[in-house]
Amino acid sequence: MMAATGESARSLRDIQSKRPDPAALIQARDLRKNYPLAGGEPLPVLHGLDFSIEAGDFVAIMGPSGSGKSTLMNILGCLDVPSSGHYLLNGTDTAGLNPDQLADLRNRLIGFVFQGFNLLPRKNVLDNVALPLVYAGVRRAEREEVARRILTRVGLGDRIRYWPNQLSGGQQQRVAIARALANSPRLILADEPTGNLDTHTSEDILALFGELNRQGLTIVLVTHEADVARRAHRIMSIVDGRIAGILRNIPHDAD
Amino acid sequence: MTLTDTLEESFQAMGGNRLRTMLTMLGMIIGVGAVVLMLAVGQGAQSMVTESIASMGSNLFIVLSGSSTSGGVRMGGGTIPTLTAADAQAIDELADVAAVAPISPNNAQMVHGPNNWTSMIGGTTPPIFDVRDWAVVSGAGFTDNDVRSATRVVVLGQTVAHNLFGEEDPVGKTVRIKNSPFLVVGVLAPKGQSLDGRDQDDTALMPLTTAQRQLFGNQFPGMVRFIMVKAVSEKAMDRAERQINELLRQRHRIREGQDDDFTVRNLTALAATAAIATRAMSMMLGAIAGISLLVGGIGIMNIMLVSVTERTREIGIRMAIGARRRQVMVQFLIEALIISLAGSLIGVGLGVGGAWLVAEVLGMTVVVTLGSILLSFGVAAAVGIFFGFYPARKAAQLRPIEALRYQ
Repeated sequence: MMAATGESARSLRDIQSKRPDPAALIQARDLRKNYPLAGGEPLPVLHGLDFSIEAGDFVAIMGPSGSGKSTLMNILGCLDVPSSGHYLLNGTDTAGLNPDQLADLRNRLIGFVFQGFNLLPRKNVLDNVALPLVYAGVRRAEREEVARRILTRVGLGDRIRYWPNQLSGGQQQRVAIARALANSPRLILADEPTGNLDTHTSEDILALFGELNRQGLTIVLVTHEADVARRAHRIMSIVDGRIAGILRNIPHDAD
Repeated sequence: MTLTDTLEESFQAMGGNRLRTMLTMLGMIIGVGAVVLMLAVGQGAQSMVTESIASMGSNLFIVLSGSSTSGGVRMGGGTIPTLTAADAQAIDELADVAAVAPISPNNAQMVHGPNNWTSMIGGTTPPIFDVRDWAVVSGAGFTDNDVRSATRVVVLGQTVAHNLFGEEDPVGKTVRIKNSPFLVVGVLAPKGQSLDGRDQDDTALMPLTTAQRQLFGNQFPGMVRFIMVKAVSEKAMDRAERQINELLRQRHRIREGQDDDFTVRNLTALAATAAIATRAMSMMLGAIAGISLLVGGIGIMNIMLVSVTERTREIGIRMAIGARRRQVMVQFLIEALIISLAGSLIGVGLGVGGAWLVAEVLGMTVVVTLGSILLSFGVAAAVGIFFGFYPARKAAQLRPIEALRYQ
């Protein structure tokens, strides 16, 4: 259907804005992060990022290792707070929040997908997917029903009693995605989600992300693979802790 | 997150490493088992002492006649008769004295049918039953009338009765002592062993007058070997002792500066000393067992710390998907608590079983009380919380990004 190659389909457009849209799901204002070094000046990792991500967007963050993209990811995921500047998620400024408030924010608004799947090995598929609901205080019957429904949605409805190590890498990542979806989050944060998977399986997983995005879910995906990034609407390149550019991309779905 | 959810998480984690959980539990099992067993043994010893004290009679003095000196050789207390039945009557008048009985003991053989038995026969007066808190279970004791008319009656201790009469009731029957017939009027209640292991039931009592005039004679008429005195209360014992001392010095015309020709001994105080000693022993046993409980607790802390380190990544994942710090902490704390409580449950079982074994095999008196079980249970729970707290807090204070990055 798509005649043009990925390269020509892209149009470079700098949408880096000093005044992010206040209605956006994610707003970063002069986001800085310094890491304290023993007996010296703190090491700056992020040098003041300004951007916003609208609800329903699909953004890939690219950058070489050491560029600060993992640090940015941690801040976006409310796993860490910026040293200065502001990060607003769904209108909530994370700057002043304590660890428990951040935990609640993660629980309600964010679903994580990791490169190494990070499933709990002693829990079966169903319990892994239901775990975020445990911390959300949902009753057992209800959370099992939700988990079962989501697992069916990601194509693992027949594997709910399996242990993670009985599944293939692609299936494990599907379980991880199902877990990320369990609390009906506003945002899916995926950190190199296909890094441990072969090309074919990667395609499946990326297709799943595309599908979730089409259903309205906001997805932010960190990767260093151009092929993977091409699935996103926008590609944000980070170099040396600064935004090198944001490309608008015509989504390139599975052929 | 409900308690049921937390419990389930804990059981899942413990089930994942059964051997380690068992070994950690073993520390608590041994600790609690030792505490229960040692307390049982200690309390057994205490109860034995308490029983002996109770059997002796309460608030008791014994007044012994003085020592004699023969050519520079001092013969020891009671060798010279200085106490009289009249002394006993005088002591009875004292305000803080409840009851008094003089005693003149002699050994003699008693015969009934084909059986014979030699025992100590105490010539005394009816208050003896009161002084020694000694009930007559069959028949009756002798009376003041018996003492006045020196009738030939005798009250037998359990051991004597058993040896002479077997299962028969001796009351109304006759025993021969030194070829004279004596009517058995009563049988004393069993008292068991005294503190020094003597069989208190191996004795017989008869009126003082009968013993002295009809049976044994007396080279010093009216003299008695010792006088047993019961004070009105435990508080009055010191006062009573002073009064007895003053009275006897006065009656025996002992001048100031001269030595007493009698000795007043506070038997209850002696018994109390024995009780204190046993209590100390029992506490020491408990303390030693408590140390093993402490070691068990340190074992829990050790394993929980290893477990927290090992599960750092898991903790990171849980935090990433929304676990609050307190929820992580409670999970680890509950794990420690389950290990210590399950361990102490098994430990209580083993301790009680061990106590039973000690009682059966070694024939020791053991007392397992609900209190000692609850105590060791409570201590075990406290140990679990105390030693589980630090690892649990350590888990809760992990930073999610670092925990997630942990390999």
